Amino acid sequence: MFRAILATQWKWSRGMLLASTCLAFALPLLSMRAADRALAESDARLLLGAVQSFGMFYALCAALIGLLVAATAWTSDHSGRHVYALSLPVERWRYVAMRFGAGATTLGAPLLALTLGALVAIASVELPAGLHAHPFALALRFALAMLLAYAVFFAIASGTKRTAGILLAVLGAIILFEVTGEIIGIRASPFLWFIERVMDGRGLFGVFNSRWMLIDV
Amino acid sequence: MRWIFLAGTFLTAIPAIGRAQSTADARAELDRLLPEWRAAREAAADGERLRRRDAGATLVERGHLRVMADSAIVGRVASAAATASASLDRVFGTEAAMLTGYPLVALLHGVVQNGDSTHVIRVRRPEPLAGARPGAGRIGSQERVISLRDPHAVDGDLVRALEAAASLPLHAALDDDLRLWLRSALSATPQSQETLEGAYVDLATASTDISRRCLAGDVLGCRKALGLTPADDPVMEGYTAAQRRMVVQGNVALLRTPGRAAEFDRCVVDSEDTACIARLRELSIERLASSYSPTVLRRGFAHWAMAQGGAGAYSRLRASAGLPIAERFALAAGMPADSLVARWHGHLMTGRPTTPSIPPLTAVATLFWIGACGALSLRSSRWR
Repeated sequence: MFRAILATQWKWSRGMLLASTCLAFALPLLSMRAADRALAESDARLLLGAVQSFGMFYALCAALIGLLVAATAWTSDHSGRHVYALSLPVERWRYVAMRFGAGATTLGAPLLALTLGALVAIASVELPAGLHAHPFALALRFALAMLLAYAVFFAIASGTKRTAGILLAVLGAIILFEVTGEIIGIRASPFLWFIERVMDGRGLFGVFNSRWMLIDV
Repeated sequence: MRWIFLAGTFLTAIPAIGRAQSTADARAELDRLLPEWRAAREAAADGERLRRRDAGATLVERGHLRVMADSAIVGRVASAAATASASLDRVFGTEAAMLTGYPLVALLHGVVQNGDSTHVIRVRRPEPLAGARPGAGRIGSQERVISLRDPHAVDGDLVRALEAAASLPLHAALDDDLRLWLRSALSATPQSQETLEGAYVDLATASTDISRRCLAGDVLGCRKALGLTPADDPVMEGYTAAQRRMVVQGNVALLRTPGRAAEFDRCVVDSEDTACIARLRELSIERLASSYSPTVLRRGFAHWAMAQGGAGAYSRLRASAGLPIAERFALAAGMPADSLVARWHGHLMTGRPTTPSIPPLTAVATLFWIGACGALSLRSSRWR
């Protein structure tokens, strides 16, 4: 049954996955292109600056792919009002686990593309003395970030509209309190506190908040 | 009408030009103000004495360290002074004895930061300086301010502040050669792994001929990077073309002189390296060296060399005035200069940061969140 779900998942998302895979392959090559002046001058400091400033694109790409794959995993169920799942002779949790697994499996394609792209990008340039390439460390970070974004959006999409509404309402209330609190002079910053906790090393999105370096000392 | 106005202004200005102050007049004017300046200084000193009396200032003595501390922070200062004194003895040996003549003050002050009231500890030399020795270099006050916001960091910060402030008179007592080589006072604070990493990253990313040779383990390259051997051509060996352009650009006032403005513009605007090289030739060797021989590298080397020399290393370093700096460090460390530099290079290489993989805690946390989100999904309802 998992193979059937995987096949349908692939069918629904193959167009988007093809685009994501191309993007993931191109990212390391583009980062080297952005650093071509530093590479030409063999200037390590300039090169690190260029590579570091490009790092956010890896994070954005991972988040975007995770979001899109999670969304496509539930699109058909949402449009069919979840009747198909009701008609299957399996428990709900088993069905969801297979959906989750199928979506996560398809993430392997962009991951493989990024790893290959990083290896090709590194092979095509001569690094200044003292610097080293870390394609596999970057790929590992990309895999975790992509899987995390996928899991978060998958969980949100699997819930009811009411659950999503409650989440949005809570977030909106925090932002509203932040804005009005500043106007009326309340010295509390719950939104900033929330962002700090979420982006902390142990926080939900901590893996996004660090240096995405293909090349480092 | 306009002519009448201009003529009037001119006639009014003539007597004022005649009364322009000469140098002697200015000096006399300044001398006249001297008693007032002295009175103000005395008043400030009286105020400080009163403040200390009100605050119940107590003299803390730990080893050779003397600290006049406000009563509210005596316990904290005493504990920090004991640690700092041990560090000072370890690094400066018997030379640390001179610190008994140079007490420090540690004051508790209330400050307002971003609308919030908080307290800070200020560590500095007392004003006016007590017992400054003739012939010694200038001892700056260089106040260190420690915020009490983070209670876990206060004790460590206080120790580092005392170690840094106490090292100022020791630095001032050094001969000119060594003092200029060190550039600023060598603190007794042991070199941390972060500092070593910083020094390694500085060297690895400098991309100059000198730094590359040192990174590859060439002793002569490292001697040049440490400023122990002069570079044959600092402009070419110590900078990349991009760095040359940036240095020229950063020294507009000095290098864009009226006669050389065109050359400066060719360097900065057209990125013409020959123009940059010509412009940089006008900078002093010491100014050029500050870039390719960074202070953090020199300090790390000095700390490491003295640690190799053990007891009395600093005394040997001080006593060998007149010898080349490399020989002085060799004497202090008790090994030939080239061996010392080669072994320091090995030590520096241990500062290479680990692979930039995900910190284990972040990786575990990410897996946990993935699992948690997955588990939440499993609990979703099939009924809508």
